[in-house]
Amino acid sequence: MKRFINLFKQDTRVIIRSGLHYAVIFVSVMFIILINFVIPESLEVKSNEFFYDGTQGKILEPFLLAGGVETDSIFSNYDDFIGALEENGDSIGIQLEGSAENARFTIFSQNTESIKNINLEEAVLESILENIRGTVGPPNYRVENLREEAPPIPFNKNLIPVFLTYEVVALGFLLIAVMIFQEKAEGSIHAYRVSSSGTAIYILSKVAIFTLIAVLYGVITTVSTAGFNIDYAVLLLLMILASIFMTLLGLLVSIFFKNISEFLFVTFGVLLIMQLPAISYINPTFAPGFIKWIPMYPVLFGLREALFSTGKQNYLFPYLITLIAGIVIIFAACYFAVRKRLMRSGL
Amino acid sequence: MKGQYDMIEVKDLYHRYEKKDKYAVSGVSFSIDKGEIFGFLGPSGAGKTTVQNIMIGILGLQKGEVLYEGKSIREMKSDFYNRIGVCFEQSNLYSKLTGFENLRYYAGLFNVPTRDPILLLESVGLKGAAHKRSGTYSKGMKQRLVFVRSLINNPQILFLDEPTGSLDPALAKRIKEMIMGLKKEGMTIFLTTHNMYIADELCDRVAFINEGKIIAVDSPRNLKLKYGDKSVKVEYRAGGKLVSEIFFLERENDLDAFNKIVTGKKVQTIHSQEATLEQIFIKLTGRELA
Repeated sequence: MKRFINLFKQDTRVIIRSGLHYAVIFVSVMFIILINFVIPESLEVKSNEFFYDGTQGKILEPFLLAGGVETDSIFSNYDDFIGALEENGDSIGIQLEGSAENARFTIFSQNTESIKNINLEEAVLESILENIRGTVGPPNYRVENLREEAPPIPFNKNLIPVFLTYEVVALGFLLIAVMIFQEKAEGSIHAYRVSSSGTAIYILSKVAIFTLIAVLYGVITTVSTAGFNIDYAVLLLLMILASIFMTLLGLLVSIFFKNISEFLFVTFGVLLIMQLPAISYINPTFAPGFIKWIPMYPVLFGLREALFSTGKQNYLFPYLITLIAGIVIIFAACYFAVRKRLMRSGL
Repeated sequence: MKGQYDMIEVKDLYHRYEKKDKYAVSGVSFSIDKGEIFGFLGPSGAGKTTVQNIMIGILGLQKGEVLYEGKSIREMKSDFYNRIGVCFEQSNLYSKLTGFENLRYYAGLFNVPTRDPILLLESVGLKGAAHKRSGTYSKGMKQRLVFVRSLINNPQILFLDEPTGSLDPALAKRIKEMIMGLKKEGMTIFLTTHNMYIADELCDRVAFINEGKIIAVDSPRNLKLKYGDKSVKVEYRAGGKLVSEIFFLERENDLDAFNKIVTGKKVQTIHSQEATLEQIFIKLTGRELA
């Protein structure tokens, strides 16, 4: 333990003297400013629909106005209607002709809309027609929530788990590589390997310092953006485990390269794989099995649950099992790689 | 001879690096007595570092044996490093840490009583620079720091790799005196060098290594008696310059050349001299040490 603490102090001093903490503080401040002052809580997407009411007696117009459609979007002249569509490339046009009994809608598409959106538009128009005809029946469906409905997550706050996963937690991956290449360049690793401190202490000291930095970085950022009313126990647990995993991964990869330039090529590939769960985060319906096995998946979704609880029960245990299993495997790989390539003759 | 050299025994050592056809080291055997300074002389690429790396356990044993007081290096645990000190030729220091911090943190990696970093720095004239970052040190200062770092854990066995290579004569003398002092304290020292003068001055015995094989092992004096030819150093004027040449008069070619210079040139001085270790090395291997 004495040797671990000694090496931990040494590594801390080397990091502080290298100025790595300034980069961390800078990014943290930038993120806090972005979340609190730059990125809005919701993204209001203005509807760009234009309507031409060609019916006898203009039966559509009152329904549109009652539904909140602005008068600027409703045209009484067909040529003006087409002109507005031509001018606005991201618009969609809806024309209604005939009478209430035999009304006929025409959708003017720019050929950029998805089939899904066109189908949704058709369903909405059908509903409007039913309202015009007065044939609206009671709804033949109901919605039942599995648990208490969670308040919607503000758009800016929804980015916090992404930042914590790919900035805070992934920090150790890059910083440990910087440190390893610095030690390789200086040759200080040569001196370490003829001391009586072993491979495990070498690994654990570095993992401990980068995990500590990540936790401090993560907690300061979270408190400044999400406040105190969140599950910090789960947040800390996930950040600690994820940081350990990513730091070990960075160490494992950096061992096999001579300098940071060579390392960066592989880093792009590794980080790309680690970023795949972000697709599922943005679009939860896309969650194939292999993405769930990427260790960043449980981190990302676990952090979101810790920050914005949806009332899910027992979600943490499988996430922790995945992470702990990953750590055990990667620590064993790191131990043998460090022992063979750093503590022995090869560098 | 067996049993006389009981501190370190290297037996029939072979080592071949990956993807190399040729052995880097083959059939190397020698032994070192407790309290002895043993010089390991050879040119670059001769296998000196390979042998040392096997002896300190950072290269695995492939074939042969290294014994410390009869115990194989294979059986050594990490505590083995509490007993040895290694002074590398390269200045492998933490450049962001001060000289003092380099020693203090290195001391913390051992679980044996360690020396006072400030006293060690003082012993090599670095006390004044103790709190400056080692990255700002000159090459000679770094070498002195690496030297004292190898002493921090009071080792019983010291491995020195070119310990005076970058030092001016005054500092080199200081280091040599310290090495002799360590020997008096009973420390066993394995000195790897291609500097014959250092080896001649400090070593009780030396081993010549060339192309991975031991060529000769003995005390410098015995090697000179056994292999050294008497030589003559002549200084003469030629083309307005002072030229210095060494001739081995037992060799016919050298004798003819010597006679031509004595009769045809303006000779300034003639001195007879004992053969140096380098000359003996050249004689045995046909290669120069440097």
